[in-house]
Amino acid sequence: MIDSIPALMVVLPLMAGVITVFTGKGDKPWAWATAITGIVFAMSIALLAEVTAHGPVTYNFGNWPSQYGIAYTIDAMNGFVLFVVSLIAAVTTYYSRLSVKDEIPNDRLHIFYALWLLTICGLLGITITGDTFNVYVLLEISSLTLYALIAMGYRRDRRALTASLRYVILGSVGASFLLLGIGYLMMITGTLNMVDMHDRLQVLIHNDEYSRTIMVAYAFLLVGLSLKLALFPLHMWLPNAYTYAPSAVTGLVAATATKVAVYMTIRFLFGIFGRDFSFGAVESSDVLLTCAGLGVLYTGIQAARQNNVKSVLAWSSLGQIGYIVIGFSLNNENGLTGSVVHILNHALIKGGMFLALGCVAYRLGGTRLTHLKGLGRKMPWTMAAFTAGGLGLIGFPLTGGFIGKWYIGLGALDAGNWLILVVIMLGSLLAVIYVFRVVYAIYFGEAEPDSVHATEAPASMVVCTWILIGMSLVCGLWSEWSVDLAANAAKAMLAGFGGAH
Amino acid sequence: MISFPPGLILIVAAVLLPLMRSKKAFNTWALLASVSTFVVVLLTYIGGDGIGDYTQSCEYALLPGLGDFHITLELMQLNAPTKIFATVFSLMAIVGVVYSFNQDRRIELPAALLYAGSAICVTYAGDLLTMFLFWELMAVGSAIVVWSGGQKDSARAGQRYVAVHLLGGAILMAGIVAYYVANGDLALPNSPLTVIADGSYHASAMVEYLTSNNIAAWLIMIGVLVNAGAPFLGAWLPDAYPEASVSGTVFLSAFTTKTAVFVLMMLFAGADVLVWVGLAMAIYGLIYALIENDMRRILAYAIINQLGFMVCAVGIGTPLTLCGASAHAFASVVYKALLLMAAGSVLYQTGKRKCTDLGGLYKTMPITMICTLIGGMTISAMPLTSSFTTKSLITSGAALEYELGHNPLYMYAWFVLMAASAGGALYAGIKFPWLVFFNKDSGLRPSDPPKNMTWSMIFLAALCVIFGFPGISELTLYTILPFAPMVPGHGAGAEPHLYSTWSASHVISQFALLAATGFVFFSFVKTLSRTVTITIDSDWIYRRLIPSYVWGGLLLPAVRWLGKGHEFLLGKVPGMIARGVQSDVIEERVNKSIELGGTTIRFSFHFRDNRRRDWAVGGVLLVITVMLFMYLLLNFNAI
Amino acid sequence: MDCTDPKTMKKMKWIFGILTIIFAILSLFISEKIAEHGHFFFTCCCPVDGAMGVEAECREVAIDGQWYFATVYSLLACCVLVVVSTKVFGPIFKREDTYYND
Repeated sequence: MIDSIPALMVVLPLMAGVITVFTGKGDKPWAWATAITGIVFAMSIALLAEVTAHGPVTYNFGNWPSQYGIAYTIDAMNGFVLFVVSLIAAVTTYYSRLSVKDEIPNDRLHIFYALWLLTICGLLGITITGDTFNVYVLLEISSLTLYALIAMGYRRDRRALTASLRYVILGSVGASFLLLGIGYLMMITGTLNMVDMHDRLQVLIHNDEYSRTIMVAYAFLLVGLSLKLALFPLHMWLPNAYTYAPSAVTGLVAATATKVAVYMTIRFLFGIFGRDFSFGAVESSDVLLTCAGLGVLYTGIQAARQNNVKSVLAWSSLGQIGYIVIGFSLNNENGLTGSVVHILNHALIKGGMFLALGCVAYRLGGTRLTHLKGLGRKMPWTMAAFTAGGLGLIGFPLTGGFIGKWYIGLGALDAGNWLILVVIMLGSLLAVIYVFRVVYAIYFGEAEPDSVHATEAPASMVVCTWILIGMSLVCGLWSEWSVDLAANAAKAMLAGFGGAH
Repeated sequence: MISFPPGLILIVAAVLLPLMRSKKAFNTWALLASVSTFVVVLLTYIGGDGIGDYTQSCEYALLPGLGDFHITLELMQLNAPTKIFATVFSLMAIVGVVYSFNQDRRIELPAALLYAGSAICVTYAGDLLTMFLFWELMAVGSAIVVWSGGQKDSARAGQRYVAVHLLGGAILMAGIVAYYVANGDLALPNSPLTVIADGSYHASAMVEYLTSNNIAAWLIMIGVLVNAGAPFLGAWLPDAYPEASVSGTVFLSAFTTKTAVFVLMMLFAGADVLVWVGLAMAIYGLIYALIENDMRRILAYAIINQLGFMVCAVGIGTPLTLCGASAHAFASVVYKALLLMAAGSVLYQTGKRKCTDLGGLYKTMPITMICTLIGGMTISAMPLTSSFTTKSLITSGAALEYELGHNPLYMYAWFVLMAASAGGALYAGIKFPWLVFFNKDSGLRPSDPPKNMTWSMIFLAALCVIFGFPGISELTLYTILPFAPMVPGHGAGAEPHLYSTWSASHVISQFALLAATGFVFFSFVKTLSRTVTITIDSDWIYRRLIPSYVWGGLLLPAVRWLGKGHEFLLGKVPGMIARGVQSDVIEERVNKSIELGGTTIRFSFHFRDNRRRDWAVGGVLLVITVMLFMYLLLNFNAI
Repeated sequence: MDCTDPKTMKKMKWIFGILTIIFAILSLFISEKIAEHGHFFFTCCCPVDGAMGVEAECREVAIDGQWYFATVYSLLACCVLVVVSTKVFGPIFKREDTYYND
């Protein structure tokens, strides 16, 4: 059983997603999805423990040798990301019952949860697989289902449809860039397996063969990945998609989709091309740092201008992605550790905050700034969670958001890049502005007539919100375990392919 | 032995307090917590062997996981001035709880207990970081107290309070970090002064940093002075305190400023600059108290005025003046709370806080009136009240220091302090009771406040008198001072002896001073009459100058102007490029023709459909292409 | 009783005035006594090097003059404070009640 966990991590939600269509009406699809994501979460813990204790785990489908078949390889890096994704998946699924019933036509709940499980399956698959073509396939599974999930927000706001369409176009462009890049690589290395590809690429790079092809493949992959992880200025698909998607979907996607894209990027840059090529032979560190740095500032300003709080958080996500990109672009251990640990902390914080907004949407039917006015008294627990999360976004010490920024800052110091420190400071200042603009409305605004009778959200929703926010606080106070895991992952990635030889 | 700072009891109780549903359980719990804190505070030094011997360090790796960034917190150290400060703080927590028994705000009392508890913890701090942590916790607690004030302007004043304290805390933190970088150690010495075997003493390392103009010392000092209410830094005090509730103000008056004195004493005893700051505070508080109309703002400025004495005494920094500063902190916490309780009772009973609306209440509020008079006499250092002893320690200390060293600074200090003392008697001893309880009859006929409020006032009034009784201070207060307040003996070879205020000349001259003050008051009573005005303080800078003039008049137009450029760059240019490469059709041309009597009129509509911007992906695709080409071009020659 | 009655005020002024004079005379008297004894309150041994407690050249210092001086000084100081704060600072810093509200 324990040996087949890597396969089950993907196959279980895949099968379960198909079966969901037949589970019937009412709460059944939800219960089914909750059970499945719960099991997946438990398996991810087991995997992470196994990887931490005994090193990388490899699973060959059908016992084909990895050169020919599909191999799943779990090391410190993707074990950690799997844990984050399945944790968020489990919590948001449990959370989603009332929120989804409220926002999705009730005769389509089974379809919704089928798509939901397939999205999760895709995200987990991208993370777990050791096969580059598999990455593309699962990316398409997660993206296509995600487009549909986002479009399901049309009942509340019809702009969900245009947002989803835009995401479809740009997402497909990104995916095709990835496919092109992978194709080029396969062409010259003759393999799709990541480990083999890495080894052969190193030989080719060393012998100076096919260097133009490698470089073109690199450019396509990096641009495609930048689009997928919404790096400024390729971020335009994200804000509206997050804003108009159903609340639970936003919670899931914001905390996982871009994180998985970040994982892919780290995997390709460090694990396949190797850091010597990615940050030495070709010019990408400066490009990535410039884009991410400008992005942190630009998105901070945009976040401060939004009137829909979901938009504020969506723009803020872009800024946080900027920090993560800065972290790994610094190409040193502290920076990469910061990136990896920020994947966890930001997923917890942003997931929790979007769930809090889901509570608001559930009670008030919207998440505009005017809806939140004066809610501090009406929905104290939800709003406390939102505020605690906001402190995390700022990077307030003792919150999870601080840890990642701290390490990224250390990484910038190691790299001798003072400008990045200034960007982090300015970004935090902008975060203070956009967070306190909302917090101010929550605690000092006069409640609008519509929201006078608002009450605290149902316990199940508040509890889920607090699980994520509480974990982010715990990770800020007792950050040793998360930082240790992240540092292991960073070491593994810096060494090449996670030591999976 | 007690191995945790007693303030933690209050902090924990404060967290649990909101769980108490019934009012009775709520009150009982709060009272129980504050009384047990008081008892534990007494236990920490009654059982201990002496100052500094009793150090309980609590090693705690701060934010584990930040690499080698481990810091030890010394949570429990009996510093020299800890005894007296912790005693008066825990005493005030009890009285404050009793005073707020009949208040029905559920958030205020927990916040106030958190605030009091952290203030007590500050006095037990063994290193700067512990001090800072509780310092910030105090800011949190006190800000909530201001916020839950329920006055007209509470919320806004609370925000300003938070903003100022966040800024002050940031400056303090920056100073502490700089100090750590320079010094490599954050430990606080047990005593503000290092007394050498031959009886001489020298000041702490921080003062040396100050004289060598190390940025760390200046930042820390500014950060602390924000809380002390120094001129230009302390406008938050008269701004926020009157906006707290009746009971909240009592708590507020006791802790923030006095912990600032404590910290100044621990770090900066003997720093000359503090003499000047203290004198400026004494005069500034006095002048504003004289022209202010709101009775609680008068008392807020009175706090600043009295703090001036203490800050100045810390600046002089001899054992005698440090004793004076801490003893006066004790006395002034008591009488200031008493006066604010009296003002609070008047506000509670009448709902009015402006002196122009009050007057002639002495008939119907006799107990409040008598308590106010006792408080007023105490603030004026009338013999037989506590501050007669404590204030004299400071002024005599200044005089003695001048005699010993002939440093003119201490002579100026003595002159200004005497004037401020007389002025204090003028506004608080005579004017405040006069305007509220006598003066022109306002027609209000309120009764004395509820029992718990009355008894708290009577208790504090009794304390003022008891500690003023000859001999009592020597037996009680002197034993918990940081040093024994010794003065050199009379004549050649005489032994130094304990300082005593009760010399005939001192008593008589103090009476003379008070009588003269009374004479001046009644001579100028017309000039001092109230006007319906407010006084502007340095908070004008951030309440009016910056929002209205700097932002509204200067920056906002500039930002608007820049906004146009931004709009052009980010709004129009990409569209222009997109149109240039024919990739994006946001604009549309619609041609229509209408037949009118044989002639055809052609219309050409040219419109832009904003809704379609959500669809438009051309711009982004353009950017993607540019990015791709950029990578390719950048690296074309790299390989 | 209206306390702002000019008669009451005058009475109060007289009471405090007389008290002032009595205490001034008393302190004068005490200062005389001090002059006889050479010291009254503060005297100290002042070592040349300024450190306390070191036996060195002792001199007696009487600083009781301060107490005698107190009456006159406090009268003056109070008058100056009252006049300066009401006539100089009052007009500068006083604003209408609604100043911050508009």
